[in-house]
Amino acid sequence: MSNPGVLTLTQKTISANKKFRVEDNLGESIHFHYNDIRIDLTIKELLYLSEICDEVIYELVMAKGFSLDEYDGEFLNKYSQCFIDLESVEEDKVLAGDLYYRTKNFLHLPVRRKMTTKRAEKLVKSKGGAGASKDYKVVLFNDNPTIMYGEKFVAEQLLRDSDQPVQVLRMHYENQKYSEHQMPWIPFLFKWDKKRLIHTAKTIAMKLLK
Amino acid sequence: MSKKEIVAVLEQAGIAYACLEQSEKDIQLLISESQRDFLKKTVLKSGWKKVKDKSGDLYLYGMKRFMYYSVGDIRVTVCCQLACRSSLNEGWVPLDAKINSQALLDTKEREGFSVLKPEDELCYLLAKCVYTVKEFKKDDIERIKKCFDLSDKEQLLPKLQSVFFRFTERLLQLMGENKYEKIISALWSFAEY
Repeated sequence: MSNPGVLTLTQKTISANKKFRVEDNLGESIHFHYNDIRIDLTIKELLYLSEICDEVIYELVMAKGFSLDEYDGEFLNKYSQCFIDLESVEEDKVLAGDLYYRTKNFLHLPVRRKMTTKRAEKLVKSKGGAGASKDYKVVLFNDNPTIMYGEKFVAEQLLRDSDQPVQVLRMHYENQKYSEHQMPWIPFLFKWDKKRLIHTAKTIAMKLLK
Repeated sequence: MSKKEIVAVLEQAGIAYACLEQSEKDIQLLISESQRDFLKKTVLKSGWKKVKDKSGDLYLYGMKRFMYYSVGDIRVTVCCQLACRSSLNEGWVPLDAKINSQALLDTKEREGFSVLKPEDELCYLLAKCVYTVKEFKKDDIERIKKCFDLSDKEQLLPKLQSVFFRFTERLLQLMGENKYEKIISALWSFAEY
């Protein structure tokens, strides 16, 4: 039967029927699962494969100023599929109070809000989240002020000294792609996804009934 | 009803079992999956009261759910496979077929109860301490030591390897050095595979 000591290292749903997962089966091997295919690797083979993947990414992503070492695994997992459209990466400085964070409103619709002291205090107290790190900077897409990575770091800076700007990385994409909409609930509502519409309608109905 | 009377119900009905755990108010029994339905009918006639499982536990790989009964003030847990918690999602996973397929074939008698062979009990206890309880308690360490001393080492090794794989050698080394408190951290940091 299965190894009881299994850790999921990463997983991603690429499309409806395509799922990718990497597991560490303690003492046994690393398993790469892609739908019905399973590849067994040793840890050394996994690390070697990781180096090869880095090389492949650098061959595909020809953006000026781009370095994989500047992004943590969580960010790469979420946004690496955008890198194919990346044109350049530059360092910048922005005041924490000028940045926006992503959240949901009372109707459970996505919105963006300006970073405030109140939000910052809540974030700093919470567990998890990308906080201060010498390895990873805050990430913005294009000229958009929405925080794509590093919200907690921005919160810490705001509370520490709101007049000191935060160091950020601006990732510039072709045709300003992937910039967060000023009102993200609009593209959310007009994306005709049956599952999401039903879920949203149920959420709104429940809120109204309360 | 005492715990001996509880197991007597199974013995009289011809249901093979092994006692996995017992304390003052609890007893956990392993039976064969093929006798599960027969046990359900038998114990209800003997006055065992079925207790609803509210744990919400997941049972993986087609494992049969544990059955819970109360007999007087004694809580009886009946399982059909030796299992432990999975670190992936805390669901119950059965131990390898190398252990489960033979667990009830050659049980021993201890203080009036049918118990597992030392090799199987050792694998069960180690899996329990590492994955379910996540701690090596004093009583379990004493049981593990006794089982290890009584085990047929040739039979034991492949069974341990089916649970701990390449970590088995390191596990046995730590057990030999009486460093039970280091086993779990050693497993999680083990990288020689």
